[in-house]
Amino acid sequence: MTRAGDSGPLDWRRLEAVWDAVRGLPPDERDAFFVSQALDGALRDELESLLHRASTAEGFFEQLSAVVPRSGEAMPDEGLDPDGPAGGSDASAGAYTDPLIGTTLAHYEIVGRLGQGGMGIVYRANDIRLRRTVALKLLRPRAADDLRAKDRLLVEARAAAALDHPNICTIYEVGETSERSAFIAMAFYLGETLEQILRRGPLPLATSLDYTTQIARGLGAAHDRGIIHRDVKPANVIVTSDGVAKLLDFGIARIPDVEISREGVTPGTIAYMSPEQVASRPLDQRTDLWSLGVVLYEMCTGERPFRADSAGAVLYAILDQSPTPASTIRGEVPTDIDSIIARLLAKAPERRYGNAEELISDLSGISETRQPAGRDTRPGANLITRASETDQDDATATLEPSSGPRRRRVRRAAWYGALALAAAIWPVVVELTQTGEPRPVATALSTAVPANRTQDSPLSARRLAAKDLHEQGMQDVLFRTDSGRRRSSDFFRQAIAADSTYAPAHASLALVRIAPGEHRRATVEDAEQSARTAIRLDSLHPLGHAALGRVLMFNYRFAEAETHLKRAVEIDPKTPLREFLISLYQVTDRPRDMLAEAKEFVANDPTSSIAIAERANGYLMNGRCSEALAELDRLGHMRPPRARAGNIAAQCHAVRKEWPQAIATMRRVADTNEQARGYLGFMLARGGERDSARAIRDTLLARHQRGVGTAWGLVVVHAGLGDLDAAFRWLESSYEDRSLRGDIMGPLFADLQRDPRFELLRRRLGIRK
Amino acid sequence: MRQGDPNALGRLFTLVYDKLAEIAHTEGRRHPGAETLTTTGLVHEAFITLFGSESRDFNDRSHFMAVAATAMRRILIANARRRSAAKRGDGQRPATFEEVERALATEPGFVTAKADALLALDRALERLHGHSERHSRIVDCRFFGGMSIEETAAALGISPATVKRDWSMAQPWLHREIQKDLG
Repeated sequence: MTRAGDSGPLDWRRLEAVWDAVRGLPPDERDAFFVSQALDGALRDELESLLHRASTAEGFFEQLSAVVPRSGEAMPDEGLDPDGPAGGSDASAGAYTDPLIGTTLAHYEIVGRLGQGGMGIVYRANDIRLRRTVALKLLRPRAADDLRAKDRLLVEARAAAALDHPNICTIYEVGETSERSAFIAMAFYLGETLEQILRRGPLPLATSLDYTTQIARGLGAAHDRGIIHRDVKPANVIVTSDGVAKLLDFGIARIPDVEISREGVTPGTIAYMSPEQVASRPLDQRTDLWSLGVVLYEMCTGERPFRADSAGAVLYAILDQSPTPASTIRGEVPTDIDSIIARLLAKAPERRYGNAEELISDLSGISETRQPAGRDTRPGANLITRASETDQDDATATLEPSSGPRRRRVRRAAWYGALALAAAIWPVVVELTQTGEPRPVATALSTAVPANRTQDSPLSARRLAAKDLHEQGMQDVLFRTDSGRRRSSDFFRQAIAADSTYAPAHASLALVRIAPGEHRRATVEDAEQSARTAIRLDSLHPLGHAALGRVLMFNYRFAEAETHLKRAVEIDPKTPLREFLISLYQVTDRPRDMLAEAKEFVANDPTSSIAIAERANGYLMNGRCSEALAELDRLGHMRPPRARAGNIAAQCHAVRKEWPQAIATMRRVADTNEQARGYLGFMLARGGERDSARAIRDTLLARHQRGVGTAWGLVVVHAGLGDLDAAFRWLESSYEDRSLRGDIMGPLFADLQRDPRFELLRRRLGIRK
Repeated sequence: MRQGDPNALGRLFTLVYDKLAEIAHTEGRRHPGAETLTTTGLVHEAFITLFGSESRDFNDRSHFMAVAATAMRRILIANARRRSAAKRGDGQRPATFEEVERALATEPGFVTAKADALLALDRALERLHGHSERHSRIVDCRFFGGMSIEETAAALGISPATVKRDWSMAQPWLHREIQKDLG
């Protein structure tokens, strides 16, 4: 039972040599063995001591080794990131009440916990002095003992506070409450982190590009000051309710020559780490571009480029594997985006973009080249689609192609003009807004020859003049008024006078001729003539066919219209003119064709929120409201087409008899146009607010008597009120004034559809049962 | 012991990293909020220890595994030290051996007594290393690396029988040293 007090000089080699022999012996044979081997003294004591406790020791280490996890224990990837504000591993946070809540720190009253970051807990707090809500970041209680952590926090704050940029979270104040703890007061934004948004799935491509551009702008500003974020990830991006992406948490930002995170805290969340971060090599701003590439990929596909069952496999993939191209995962991702991602995710920093500016330039290039219209053909054209997808005020902030100030101004004007034109000439089946809510007809006008054909056109002086005049016609900012439309018609006529063979001018003239206020019988016939001329001049130009298709639709000649619209789509499968075909299917009660076409629309123009909204509409028309709402939910993160999307969503809620939501949704967009008010009236009537509904009805009636407004809103509000007689009367008027909308075939109007009088409408529209 | 197959490196990389991650994750789970290092940080601390130095040849499996196991030991010890220090700051003495044994038998979590035992183990391993580097490395692999007899043998380039023998001897030796240390 000797406890070898002092091991003393021991012949370890000898001990080792006999250990194997002696440990296998039964205890009662050991003495004999020791004698036979002449083992005595310290060595024998040692052996006996070890043998004596062999089994105890084994049990001891087995128990102790429980603190060392063995392989086979599940290691969920998510669990690795306790830093995210909503990270699952912070389960303990909910389990106890944070003692700081309710207390006051400096002049901040702490009201709740927002999340936990790499170096601190973030609270929601009220600034008592300035009476505003702030996000207050404090050192974690434990980390407060760690002066290094405090220093790091202060460096973060100084770094970020120096940055004043719309895409970077604003820092209000950096303070120390005591020697050991510090806080940062930041702007509190209403919105969601990109991480939260991504939990619902991938984003529309236009949104993905938009956010990427915004984040790149914020990073660019930081990089210009020598600050690297080093932890770009969705959890560190807040998207405010008005769609602005704010980069948060320069928690590990580093100013050159100030090394703060070498030891201990390692930057980045695994999935977003750059290879140089993984390998702990020196970092420069290009590490942020890599991480942004990961974020872009995730926004486009809903998946991370480097994903695996385990963190180790993820890291290995970052170092060594090429991700599956985003377009393979989501077919509608254009290869342009693949290329940008590939460049961002180049393993070697020197093969990436050199700076954020280069990236932004390429991103805006996508926005441009994705449009079928060549920029040189119609300067406004590229912007038109964007315009129709983006609120007017924000369009230039996010997607405007980089260009000189003068050109920008011109384009902006062009774009407003085109919007107005779009609003003005959208007469029949599809939504027309009085306020210029952009609708796809705008994109129709923007559609031009495929790029390869542009070169073929003879760019004579006359042709150039015609183009120029045509553009001016599109640019007329007064286009929304009758006089403006006349001026625009004049420009188109002048364009034709300059070069009578310039087909787009004829097509545009056709479209403007069926605009409200223009479409007296004679002009409608002229419109058809102009469209046919456009086709005759250039039968391979989609705009001519589209214009003729629209004119024929205007005249309820759907079969012929369909032929031409299909032809336009055939010529240019990417054309936004596909929208016409979709509306044709809608109004002729072909919901399945409509949905198929809408899906095709999205497939061909994945960045178009209008396309996505149309697909949602397709679901609605097929009675698939939850799918429609899911689609719109994704659209919610992009601004436009607000009224359209809101209208579809409200209809979905109405079909599901979710009146409060329906009313609330419709209210938000009711101001956008007169017809939307009719829908709001419908929702109110059904939701039990009949008086409000009647008030809307009366307003619409008064407007109609004054000769402003169309019949469609009155159809809708009367249907809502259950006054079917009136509804059918107004339906008749809407058929006459061309304000009839395809929605009439949808589930919202089931009451009307059940009425025998509805069959009359169907017959007039040429629909056979 | 060189592996020509590039995928072998990938698998190995994954294996080692995930072991590191498991440790860190479990640590994080056992006492959430008590760490100054995040789980990710813990893992990367070890990871950088493993991969930060350019001189290392990761195709050398034995070297790789041995370094990995040692890195894991370092993480755990650093962690235990923080934990123990936090307690001692409250005026508590390190646990006695008896307390350690009781904790092992009755406390499922990573209580301070176990942290103290780990620290004592670390010190004992230093002494063991003085006698035999091979023994201490085997303990690193078996205990801290969670590697099997065969894995350890392969990693260190010795026979499984040697691993078995040395491991069976190192345990009682360390046990005794820890008991002596903690008193």
